[in-house]
Amino acid sequence: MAELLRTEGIRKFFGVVSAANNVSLSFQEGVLTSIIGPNGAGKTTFINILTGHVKPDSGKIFFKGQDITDLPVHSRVQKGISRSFQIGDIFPKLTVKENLAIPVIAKKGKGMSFLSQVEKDREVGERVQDLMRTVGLEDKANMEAGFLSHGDQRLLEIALAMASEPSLLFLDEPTAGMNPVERVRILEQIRKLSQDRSMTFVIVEHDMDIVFALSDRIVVLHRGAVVADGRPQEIRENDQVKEIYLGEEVL
Amino acid sequence: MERKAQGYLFTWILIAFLLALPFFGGQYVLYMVIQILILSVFALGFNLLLGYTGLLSFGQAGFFAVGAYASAKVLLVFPSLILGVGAGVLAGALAAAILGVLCVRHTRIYFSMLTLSFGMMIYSLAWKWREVTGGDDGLVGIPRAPMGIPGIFQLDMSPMSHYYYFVVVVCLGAIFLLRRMVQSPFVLILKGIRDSETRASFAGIPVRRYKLLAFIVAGAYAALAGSLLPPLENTVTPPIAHWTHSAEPVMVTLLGGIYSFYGPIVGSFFFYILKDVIVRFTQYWLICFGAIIVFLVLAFRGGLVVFYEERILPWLRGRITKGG
Repeated sequence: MAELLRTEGIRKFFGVVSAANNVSLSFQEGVLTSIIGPNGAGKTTFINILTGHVKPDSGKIFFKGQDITDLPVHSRVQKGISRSFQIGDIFPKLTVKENLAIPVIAKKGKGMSFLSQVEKDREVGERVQDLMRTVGLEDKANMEAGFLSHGDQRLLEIALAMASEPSLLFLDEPTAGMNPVERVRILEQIRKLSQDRSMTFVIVEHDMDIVFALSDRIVVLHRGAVVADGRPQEIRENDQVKEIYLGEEVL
Repeated sequence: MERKAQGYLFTWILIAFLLALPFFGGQYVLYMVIQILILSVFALGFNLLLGYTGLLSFGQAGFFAVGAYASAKVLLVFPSLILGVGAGVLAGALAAAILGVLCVRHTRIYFSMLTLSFGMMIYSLAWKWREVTGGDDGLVGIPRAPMGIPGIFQLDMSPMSHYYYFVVVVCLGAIFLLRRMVQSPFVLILKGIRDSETRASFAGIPVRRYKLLAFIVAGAYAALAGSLLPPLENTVTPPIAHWTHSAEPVMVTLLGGIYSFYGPIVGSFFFYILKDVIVRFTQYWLICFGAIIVFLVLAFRGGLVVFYEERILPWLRGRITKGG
């Protein structure tokens, strides 16, 4: 299995709080990885660092063997790393169709076209149609995204993250705020895309049922450090993990 | 579909009206329409930044002035209208490219303040750089140069009606070009940046590069508007670079509506009509004008165009169906 992304000794401190403490991890192609850990464990920060949203204090990030530590966000996206946000981030004043057209246009390198019409671009239109079908938003194509229900906004957000055809996709709590039907639909899509190897997913999730059902591998973070890393069964039996979670939840 | 057809019809009637105007309108009316068109182009470029990209620039008069001075300078040496206007647009775009690199690194109020200070820098340059700009005297005796290619054909521009046609053609061309541009992938991406810069960069978009390009287009439009002014007035003076002049596109755009393409044009029209009426009664027209603008902006949230589309149009429709 080919290595997709590797971190070496990532550190990030917010004041004296360590959000990432010497994190060295490797993500293999096709392995669906979940990152779990109690609140404040540094899960989102870790994703922020990998996607370029936050600069690490020290450490290196390699994507497909290339050092990307200093690349800006958009260059990483162009190389094939994408993400969704924990707090939904969409283009609220644009329609669903327009929302999805933006990453598609960027991917196809058509953004510098000043006088062609988006509406008439069939290539972009078809891809947008595909994406809407994937998440089940076809019937809301012309709705302004800001007026969508919360669940639909989350679906749109995931479609936005997928639109740039990433090889590595980080989903930060993808199913938060979705109803059960939407949740099943999205998880099915993730499983399917992961199985046919078109995308490698790294997911941050709080729902342990989802995590254990879906993942090939689980990484447990606590106070910015990796405390466990292995297959679901191993994690389930790991004493240290039990302590972190039980210690928190029982008390 | 029907709406679209109505829109086309209205546009063609307006164009026909503009083309026929010299046959029945006096010199003053032509002068007014030229001013409205110039302000429209100025404000449309500005609104590419405000309404479409979410950037409020307070320094557009700087680029307007760069266009005006460059065109005046060229016209004083080579009396060719196309050359003058072309030089104005190029100079404005160049100035916007240089200053834009610094401005687009920032957002919101910081962007606005930077553009304000760069605009005022251009203003002081116009004051102090006497050798080039003529200082407070400005540049005088700018010819309303003929248009054409030397030795092949020549169109005399000295009568007001001739120059009027030149301005109408150039401005309508610029408006049509921008109308076309707002349907392009480029402007869709600008709108994405307006809605969420973070999401845009995570969509794989180099946000700053796009903001810079929008800034250059807006600067070029401001400069185009500016370069049409010296042949009309025969002079250029520093006040056109002042920040109060930068406020004009801000006002007319808010008045007409920032989220409608034609908002700035409608705003420019009302701006000059109001000004023209008030000036007849008082020399303190700015005070009255300010009060009226405040009232209009508060009363017509979203601008006149939105008010027309959401209130007046349905009401008219209702009347027509009832009557028929």
